[in-house]
Amino acid sequence: MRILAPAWLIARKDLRLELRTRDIVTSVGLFALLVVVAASFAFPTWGRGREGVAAGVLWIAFLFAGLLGIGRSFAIEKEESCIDGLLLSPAGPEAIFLGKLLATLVFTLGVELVTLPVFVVLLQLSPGAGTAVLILAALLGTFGLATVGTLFAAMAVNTKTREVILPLLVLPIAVPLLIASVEATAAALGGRSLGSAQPWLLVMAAYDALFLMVGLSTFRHVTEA
Amino acid sequence: MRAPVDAAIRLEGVTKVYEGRRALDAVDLDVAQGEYVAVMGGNGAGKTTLLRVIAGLATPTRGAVSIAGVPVDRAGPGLRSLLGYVGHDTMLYGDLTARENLLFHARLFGLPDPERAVADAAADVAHALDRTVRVLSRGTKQRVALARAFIHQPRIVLLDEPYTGLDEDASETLSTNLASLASDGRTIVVALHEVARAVSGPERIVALDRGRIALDRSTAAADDIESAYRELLRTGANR
Repeated sequence: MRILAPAWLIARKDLRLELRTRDIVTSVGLFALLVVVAASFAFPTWGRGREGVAAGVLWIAFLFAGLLGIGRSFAIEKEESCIDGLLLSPAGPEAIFLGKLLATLVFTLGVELVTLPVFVVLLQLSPGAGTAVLILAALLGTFGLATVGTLFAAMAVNTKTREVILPLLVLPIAVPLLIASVEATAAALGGRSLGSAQPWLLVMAAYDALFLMVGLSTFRHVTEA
Repeated sequence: MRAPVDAAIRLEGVTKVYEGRRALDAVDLDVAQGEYVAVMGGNGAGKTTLLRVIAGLATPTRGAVSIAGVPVDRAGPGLRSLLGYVGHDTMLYGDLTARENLLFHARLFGLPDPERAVADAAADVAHALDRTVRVLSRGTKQRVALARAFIHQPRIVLLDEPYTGLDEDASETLSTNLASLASDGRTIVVALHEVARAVSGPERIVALDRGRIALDRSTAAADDIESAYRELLRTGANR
């Protein structure tokens, strides 16, 4: 409770800021939509294996859109040293981490909620029985990306080239999650049921749990100057 | 150098190195509970670093800092609630109103009646409370920043050049508020540029030169302090 209440306050503050400026959702949403629209022209909408290509494109869009959003979210904290105000409060680094993570998750899922149906229509995909797996894969994959992204964005925010540094830090760490996300999404887009994607979903859940623990236990050191 | 047993703030051999440069160099400092201290020094003397190290916003390269006997690096929510800090930046979200910023901080500090706390802390900027911070003047932003730092009625107040951007009336109000906080037994450490201000309110002056304490005296003998400080600045500039 000591962590959850301030974490919610921080997330709510981020959401209020975003509702007012629409900085993150507009830029990130446009980017994700552009990627999927471009992909729908570039890749065939028929034939075997198209689910794998589609899943790859989808996660490239989600990954970079997520990183854009996370970077912006921490840039707001850097402006006028607002992050110092958070660190000086009784909230504690763990609550700050959770709060930023929660806000990032809401932004990114909001963008995915718009992008995913557009993507399915444009690429003429019919997940059918795989819809539940698709949603689960999107949730688990996004949670993992938001967790790793939040952790590394706090490191990158103090560097001069944070926009470049953040993807360089996140991408190598996110490789296992991306592979699992693409595999699970490809299975879902192929209309396969939960059973066929289960191993990948378990990998994603384990990755999420691991990095949530890493984030909560190391965020204090990440924010030290 | 005083060495009170009930030190509110204690620095022992604190060195802070930034990119090979010593911002603080083996600083030993005790600030007693209820003491009102001015930290002086030219640009780059280490005033800001000293305050950031005390607040726990910067980790010393060497040495230890404690607040009320507790090491700052182990500060929990209770210890952080003791501190009120104003830095060079306002720590306010530009796209939120002043009221939203203050309410956010009041809630983060778990104050029982956040609206009331905002009204009390920001009485002198009530006219600006519902305006977005980004459109406020520098002086009004600074007054909101001060309200943010005081909203939870901290026992230890750390202020880094708090008069920046304030007009004469607001400066006078701040001086009065600080004097009132000091008489209420709060510990105050304020980094200042103007020696006249340092000798008019604070009871002790600590002057830094290249990260070291070069002067540590009571402000009782104001003339003596002023000349000693000016001499310090002059010799520092000549080095």
